[in-house]
Amino acid sequence: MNTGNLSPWINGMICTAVFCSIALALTPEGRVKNAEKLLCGIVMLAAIFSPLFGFHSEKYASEAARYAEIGKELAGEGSDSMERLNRTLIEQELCAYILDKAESVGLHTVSAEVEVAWDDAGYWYPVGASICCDATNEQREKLGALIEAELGIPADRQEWSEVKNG
Amino acid sequence: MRTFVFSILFALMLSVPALADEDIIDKTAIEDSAPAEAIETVGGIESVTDTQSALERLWSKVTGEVSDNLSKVLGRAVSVVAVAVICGLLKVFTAENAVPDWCDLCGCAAISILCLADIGSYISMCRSALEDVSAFSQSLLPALCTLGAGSGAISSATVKYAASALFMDMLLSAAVKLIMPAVLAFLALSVAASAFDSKRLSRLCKLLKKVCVLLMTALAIGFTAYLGISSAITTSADALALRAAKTAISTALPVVGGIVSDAASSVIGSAELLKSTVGVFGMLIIAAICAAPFVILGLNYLAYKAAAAGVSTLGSDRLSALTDSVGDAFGMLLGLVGCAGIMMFISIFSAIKAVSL
Repeated sequence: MNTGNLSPWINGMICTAVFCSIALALTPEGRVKNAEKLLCGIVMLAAIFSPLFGFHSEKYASEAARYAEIGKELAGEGSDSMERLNRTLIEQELCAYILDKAESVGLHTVSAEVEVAWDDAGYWYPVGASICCDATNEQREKLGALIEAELGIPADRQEWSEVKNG
Repeated sequence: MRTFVFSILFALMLSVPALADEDIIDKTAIEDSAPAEAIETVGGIESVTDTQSALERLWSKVTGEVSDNLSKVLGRAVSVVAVAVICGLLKVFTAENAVPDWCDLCGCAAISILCLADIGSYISMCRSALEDVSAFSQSLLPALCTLGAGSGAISSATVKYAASALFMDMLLSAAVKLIMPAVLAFLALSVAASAFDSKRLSRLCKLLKKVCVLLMTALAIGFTAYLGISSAITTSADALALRAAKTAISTALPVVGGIVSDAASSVIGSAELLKSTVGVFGMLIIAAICAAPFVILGLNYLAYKAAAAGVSTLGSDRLSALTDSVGDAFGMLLGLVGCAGIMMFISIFSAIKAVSL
């Protein structure tokens, strides 16, 4: 058993007990011995509870503050990771929505990318879209109007490109 | 084509937990911080879904420890009673005031040798369990904090982590610097009090025991109260914040609001699922770490208390008091391990049951 932390306290108690025993044994009966008994009792109690006198409350206060800082950092990391994940998922779902709408206007070979931005209210919202497809002007206008009406992406923030063959 | 598109969408949504695993926490680090024996009993984080098997393995470990230690503990208790019987017989067959004090003194010495020869190993076992719990908590608690924040409970996750980490630190310090030395001092004083029939030393023993029990109780109650109160305040704040965000999202464009809300729910849901998985794993590991010491210390506690009751019926108050004190010492060590286990259980359960949408 590792008694590294235990030895000083136990040794202190044993030495105090031995010293008090010797002192009491050598003292003749009388008022002096009664006073000595009282003193030895106080000294023994002090020896037993000496670890408590070494308790530094400021150390625990600084530890509490340190753990609170660590907790904030961890919470920040977790929150950031989830926000990144949230952003990725929203971008993917918005792309899927555009693809679905493109299907409804008769476009089949479509790829889309959506750009999102952070709103102060606490969520990601779409601010731009890049759509790559072979579409007629009519189809492009229809799809563009749907994107503007339902996703809030204005026409000037929609980039259209054609599918490159070969 | 629409079916294909929606299949791709659902496949992407199902991939969210995997993304959460790699980005958020390091599961390998959590498993590595647990003792190998505990991992062998419980399995890895991935196998937590089969909780029934883990609990069965844990139960068989507990029953194994009971059967391995029961005969040894019972044998020691019977030996203590045998010493009391021998002392009683010696008193019967000697003249009234001839050697009763020497009889009890020798009886105390015999009981001390029987009971306290390997007390060091029990204290080491208790200390080792506490250090294992503390080391594991240093990986588990940050992971639960990160996942708690990821599931929207940012304030409460921070507060719970800080409280749990600080109180575990305090418990380990108090255990190593105060309680374990106090248990040894208690045993030494008990032997002296019984050997020399000193009422003063007996009262000192009782004081030491009360101080140890009070310290453990104060730590456990203080921790539970602090965690409970701070969680109640911060959980309400987190719930309000989440509700406000959800309202803000819903009042935006309807289609976008629906997509954003669903994405947020999926992400938070995956974080909560991972948090629950890690939390359950943590609870099982803590149970596995504490199981063996709890069983061994508990058996010793019960055996010595039973032996003390048996010895007291034989008429030797000093030997009975000494045996009872040995039982109390094991009780204090048992309380220490139990305190650490319970505090960790409360931390983990509190983290799992954070605010949710």
